[in-house]
Amino acid sequence: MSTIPTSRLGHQPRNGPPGDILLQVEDLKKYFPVHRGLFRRHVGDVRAVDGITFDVYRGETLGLVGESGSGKTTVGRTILRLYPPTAGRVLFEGIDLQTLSGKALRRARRRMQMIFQDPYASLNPRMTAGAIVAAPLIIHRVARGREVQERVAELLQLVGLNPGLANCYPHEFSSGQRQRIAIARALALSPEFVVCDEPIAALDVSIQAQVVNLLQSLQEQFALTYLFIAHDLSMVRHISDRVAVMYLGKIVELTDRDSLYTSPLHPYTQALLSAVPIPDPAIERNRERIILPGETPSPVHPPPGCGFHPRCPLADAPCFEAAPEYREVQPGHWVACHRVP
Amino acid sequence: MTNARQAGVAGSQVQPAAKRARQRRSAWRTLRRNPIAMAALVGFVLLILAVILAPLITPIPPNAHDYDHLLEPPTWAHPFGTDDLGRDILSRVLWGGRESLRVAVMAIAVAISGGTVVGLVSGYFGGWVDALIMRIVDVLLAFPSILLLLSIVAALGPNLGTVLIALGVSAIPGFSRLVRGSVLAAKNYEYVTAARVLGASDAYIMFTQILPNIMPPLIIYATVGLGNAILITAGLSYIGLGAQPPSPEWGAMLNAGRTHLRDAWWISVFPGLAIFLAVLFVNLLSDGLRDALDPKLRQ
Repeated sequence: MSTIPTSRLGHQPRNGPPGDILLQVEDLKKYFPVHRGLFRRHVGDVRAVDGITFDVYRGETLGLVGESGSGKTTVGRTILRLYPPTAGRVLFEGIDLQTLSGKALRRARRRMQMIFQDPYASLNPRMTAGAIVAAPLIIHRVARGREVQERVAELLQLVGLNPGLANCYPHEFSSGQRQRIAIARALALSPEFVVCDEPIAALDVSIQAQVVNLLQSLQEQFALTYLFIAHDLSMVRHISDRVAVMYLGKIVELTDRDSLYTSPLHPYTQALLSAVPIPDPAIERNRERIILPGETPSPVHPPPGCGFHPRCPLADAPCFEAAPEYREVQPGHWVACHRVP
Repeated sequence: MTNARQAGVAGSQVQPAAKRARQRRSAWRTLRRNPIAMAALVGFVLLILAVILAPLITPIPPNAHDYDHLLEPPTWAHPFGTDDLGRDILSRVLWGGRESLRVAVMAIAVAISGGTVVGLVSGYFGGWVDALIMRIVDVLLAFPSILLLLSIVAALGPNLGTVLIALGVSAIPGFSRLVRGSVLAAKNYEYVTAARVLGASDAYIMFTQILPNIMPPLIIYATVGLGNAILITAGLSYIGLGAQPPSPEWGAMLNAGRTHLRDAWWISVFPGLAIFLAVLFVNLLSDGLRDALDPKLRQ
């Protein structure tokens, strides 16, 4: 516990891109085919990720927010090549990950790791905490024998767990402790880039802050780059340097944290932010909420034109016709909307 | 558990959660509370011990002839009686158990290893690999297994080694099916994805991440199969396709005693009883294991 700062006063948020690009995602698409009938005819696709482009700068935390089903988890998994992309490229330090296979892919995997949402599902119930954290070391043969034990103890200590617990099974830990084990596993190979796929969504509120603080202190210690996927807007505001908002498989807005939360441009972002409660009764009472009509359309049959137009309060003729271009309206501020000047 | 509780550093409260991991420990507890299953387990262990310790229990070799004591009913000297060649039935039953049980256990071992590998590969890789393997399995399952057994034994010649191979191989499709089904469910667990992110090889994922988590149905199916294998081994020997005389294999003994059934019932009854008890114990044990390992059946 002592190794983890309880607040993040020492952290200076970086405004704007620091310049060094670690990861480039170019027009990435991931469609999941839908089969029906006796002959499993291909009748359509779930367009989970439908052409998204963004860069991740070294050392930053890029928040990725969106409703359930907006495709944010698929983005993370496709970047890590858990799914083959339907189209588009993912460049890690300029190398197209899609072209890698065998040994080169295994080497690349050491540099990119993932922390999963549910620490009950992501840890093998038949392995001890020590064995789980040791697995990456053994898989990549970076340590052997005594060394493994030492490194495991070191890693457990790093995430605030007693190394004496290495022989306990996952079910003997609390959810927060389990997520710490998952973090230790992800850090075992000293990666540079970590996809955090809703790492706190399954945790108690009281534990969430601890885990987020741990992630932040580890980021400072090891210069990690995070893609932080979440739907909790206030948590994303707390941890991210820049934030991308996804809707129906597309990024509708991407900018630095402060301008997103103070002056959102896309009507969807505006509606989303208006739903965040404010912990002040006076302001909260007069808070103006933008209620979107209807439901998120099905990603199997996305609406023509702009995907958001059926629910958009500003929708107009061009929105029904063509998908809006994803463009940089101010330096570092990207929006996909016809109605944004 | 207490260890974790005392030493809990962060998050401090330890949840007694995770059904699946708890399941294994409570499985043994459930089994122990089941008197029938425990009796079967004890009985089967005693049977195995008796068979292994045969030379210590009875000093008479199984094929020693004693022409002064032909077709003798049970006495103190020969508790199970003697056959028409003056051989001691008790020694023959015990020594014969070595043959019968060894063949059955080894055949199941062959079926488990073969079925596990085939099922893991089929379920894990999916696609055309799965389609091809499963069509072959379908064909083998559709084929009457006794016919398959008979043809393998007929082709390779009647002896216990052939029976072992035939039994083992003919049980592989069933095990493959079972393992494949479990793998289909297990390969989508998040910890399998986590292993892939770590860069683990397919073999590592199959054997260290998936296999340990699909053991319960495999164990149950193996015990059911063991009972069957004992019966079939004896059955094939009975019709002369397994152990050959003078082997004291149980099925062969049954057949040998057939002609004396009216005047010397003990020649057939004791090996028959041995088969009956072995299969009964195994089946009761497998019932108990199923109740213990399947949480849905637990009240």
